[in-house]
Parts: sequence; C-alpha cells; structure tokens
Amino acid sequence: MSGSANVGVHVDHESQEDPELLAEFQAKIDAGQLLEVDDWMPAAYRKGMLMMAEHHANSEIVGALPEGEWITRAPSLRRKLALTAKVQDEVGHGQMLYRVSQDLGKSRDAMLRDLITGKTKYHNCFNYPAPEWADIAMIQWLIDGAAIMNQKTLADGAYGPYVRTMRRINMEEAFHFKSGEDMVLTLMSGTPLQKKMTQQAFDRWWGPSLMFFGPPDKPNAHNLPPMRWRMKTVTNDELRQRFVDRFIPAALDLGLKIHVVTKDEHGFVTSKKPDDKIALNKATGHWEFTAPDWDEFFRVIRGNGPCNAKRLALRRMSYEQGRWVRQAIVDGSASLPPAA
Amino acid sequence: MSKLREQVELVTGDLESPPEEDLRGYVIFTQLKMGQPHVYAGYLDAADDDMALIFAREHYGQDQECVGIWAVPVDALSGTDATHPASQDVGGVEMYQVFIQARRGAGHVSAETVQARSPAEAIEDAQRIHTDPSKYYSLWVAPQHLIASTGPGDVIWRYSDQSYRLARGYSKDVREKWTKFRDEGSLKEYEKDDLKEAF
Repeated sequence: MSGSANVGVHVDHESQEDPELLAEFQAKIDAGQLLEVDDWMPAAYRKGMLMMAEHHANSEIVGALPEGEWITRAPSLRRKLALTAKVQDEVGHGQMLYRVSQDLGKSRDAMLRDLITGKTKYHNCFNYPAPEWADIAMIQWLIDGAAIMNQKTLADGAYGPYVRTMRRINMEEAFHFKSGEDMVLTLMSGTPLQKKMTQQAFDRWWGPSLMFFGPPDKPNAHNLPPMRWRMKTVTNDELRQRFVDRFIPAALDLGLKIHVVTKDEHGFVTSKKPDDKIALNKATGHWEFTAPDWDEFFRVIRGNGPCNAKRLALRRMSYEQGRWVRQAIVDGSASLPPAA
Repeated sequence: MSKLREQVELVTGDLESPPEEDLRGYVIFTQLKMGQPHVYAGYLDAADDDMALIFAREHYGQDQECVGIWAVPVDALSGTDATHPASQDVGGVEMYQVFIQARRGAGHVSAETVQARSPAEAIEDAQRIHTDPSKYYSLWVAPQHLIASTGPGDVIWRYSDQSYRLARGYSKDVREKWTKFRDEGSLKEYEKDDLKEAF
C-alpha cells in the first residue's frame, strides 16, 4: 500500500552541479529513459529518491500494524487467510523498498532505527485507529485504492530500481483492492448494523484518504525538481481529484453518506455534518468536495496523531525483542531470548 | 485477542541496543515453467542462502505459478554495468551463469553458462556469444556454485486454493456485487482505474 506522495522532497538547488552532466541527465529523463543506480545523478536527486523510497518502505511496514491487529478477529477463515496474505505482502513491499533505498546509500538498520526514533516519517494515515472490522474494509478500499492511483503514476517515474519495484508491488496491490471492494460490498449488502458500522468507518477514513495525496500543490509544482526529474509524474491535487472522481460516485451509489467530521485526540468522530459541497460540476466534469483539515494533517505529521506513539512503540518493541533472533541467525551468538 | 498491543510501553528516544550490520543482499530469479529461463524477480536481504530461499519462496514464489528459484548474492554478481564491477583476479576454471538485460530498465534473464577463470573473462566470453550490442543493454555473470537454488521437483507454488490471495479470486464476485448498486455505465467508468496487470 501507500505511495510516497506526501513526503516532503525538498531538493536543494542544483546550481553546484556540473551543468553539462545536469543537461545530459535531464535529457535522459525527458527522453523517457530509466535511470539506474550507477548513472550519474545530481546529489539532490539521489537524496530525494532515497527519502522517497525510505518513506515508502516505512509506510509499508507501519501500515501493516493496524491491519495485523485484526488477523485474529477476522470474521471468516477466507478473510483471515486474505488478511494474513495482505499483511505479508505489505511487509514484503517494505523489504523490497528498503533494498532500493540501501542501494542509494543508507543501511537498512539505520533506516529501521531512524523510523523507530522518529527521525524519519511514514504515511500519516497509519496514525489513525482501526477500531472495527469495517475499518479494515475501508483501509483496503479507500487507502489501498488511493495508493494504487498514486503508485500507478510512480511506476511511470524515471528511477529504474524504484519503477521495477513499483510494478511488482502494484500487481500484488490489485488483490488488496479487490478484496477491499469485496468486503465493503458485502458489508453494504448486509444488515442495518453492518451498514451503520461501515458508514462510521467511512467517516473515519474519508479525511485521511483525501490527505493521502499530500498537502495542496505549490503554484509551480510542475516545474519543481520532483516533477521535472520524474520522481513524481502527477501532482498531489491532480491525484486527489482523480481519487474523488472515482470514489465519490461509488460511495454514493453504495448508499454511503459523505460527511465533514471533527475528531477527538483518539481519532474518533465527535461530530459530523453532510459535506454540502459534494456535487458533480457539469462544466469541468469533476466532483467537488470539502478539502480535508490541513491543520490536522500537519499536527499528525509532527507526531501528534491518535496512534503515532503506539505505532512506533510497537515497532521499537519488535526491533528490540527480535535482536536475539537476528544475532542467532547471523552468527549463532545469542543464547536464550530475554524474558518478556 | 492478545492484549500484547495494549500493553506496549510507549517508549521514545534513542534505542538502547547498538546499531547492527545489514544482512546479505540477494537478487532473486524465478522460473515460471520448466525449461524456461530464470527471470529477475527482485531483491531481498537474508543471513544466508537457506534463509534467502525461504524468503524468496514466500515473497516471489507465491504470486504466480513458479517451479524454480535462484538466489544470487549481490556480491557474487559481476556485470558490464558499474554497479557490479568485474574482478580481473584469475583463479581456477569455473562455470559462470550469464544473465542478459535486454534493454535499459528491464529485468535480467538467465542465458547460457560459460567456463572462465575470472568474472572479467566470463563477461568477455559472454560478449563473444552476444556479439550484437544492440540486442542487449547489460550482462551479468555469477559463479554457478554461488547460486543458491531450489531443488528439482521442489514444490514452491502451492497447489491448494490460492484464490483468496489473488485479485482474480475476487474479480467476478466483486463485479456481480457492484451491479446491485450501480448501472453498467458508471461501473465501467469506475473500472477504468483498475490495475490491468495483476496476479
């Protein structure tokens, strides 16, 4: 899941680079060529790609945590198998993306440690709680749906190793989305209680889904290095519009209502009112909607979301408690596991 | 459900344990049908060959039918690209596996084996076979004895029902369920954004 659209890639000015090499580099990108790790690239590009791939890898790993909680409580054997496979896929995606990042010059251990100590970020949406089974359905429909829209465009990027990884990830991602659709459709075809639970989960996840694509575009987004160097190929706002154009009519047809909500510090909805901006603009052909609360977005990204501390603490626990296992497999030096 | 997650102490700050060495990097190649070449699947990190094969079976061997896996340590690969510089050091004659990357950005695919006394010599031999440089972008070679491989007849792809973990296991059901909520036109529009390539 989880593309890296909202990672802030602050690329330094490239004026210190050799102009000839820079022109050659830009020409390769403009010609649609894929870059390989041993190609010359501006230092800022290498740094930006590393940040993007590392953020993406972190998001895969942390994204598995809320879903993992539900494996034991899945409502049927098939759903349990599917969720287990999905969580396994996400962790695998994390492994693949850490590998891409390692080749750009940072060790895996350093990345895992920076994630745990909060030096690097992961996707904001995993700082929200998943209190009901319907949240799992919504994560797989909305968040994976958003991730696919994003990752399809990232697979058109310029950096070969990342692009190849993205293609493989997308092929696995198709299962996550289809099973998410299946869950949402099943719940919305079910009892009044199931429908109510689904609506409540939708209310919790609609905002984070809109935020998924990152903050609103800067006015010159198309000319900034991430786009010019094809690290990204579509802007945040363009992706968000594609997402709402697909999901608003689908949600409405399912019988879901789209609300503007306020939440408490635990991520639970405290009040809601219908989003009265929801309408298809016949002139543009696009759906209109109320923008998410960007103050909340920045608050959560700075570490003050409902689940930030919980997610990182769990990651820290598994890193520290897994240390004796890693030692044992590397050099057989570990003795007994530490007492829990 | 386990209460473990509710009891996790919310610790922050620096880690107590010291930094660790990374595991060894491997390039994984999968063979989808008997007699076909091994095709680049991706990378993974593992402590040793056995662990690499176990991870590879799970991560690269379960998306589609797969009959064989090779795990090649990254540091055993030499190539015509700068990422994997070829050693000139001459040793005894050994067998090298050649991998061909057809075009820039594509994955490498296994080709023939050559006998050589060094990786550099193996690359030269491979280039003598693949004389037309327009037919490929880069070459890799790896000493055959360093390639970890699943055995013949080893079952990798599980023949039990895997539909729960593949997109195609849901497609028909999902479409049928949608038709109860949506007309054909809006459903078609919605499906335009589906991933066309899927396992």
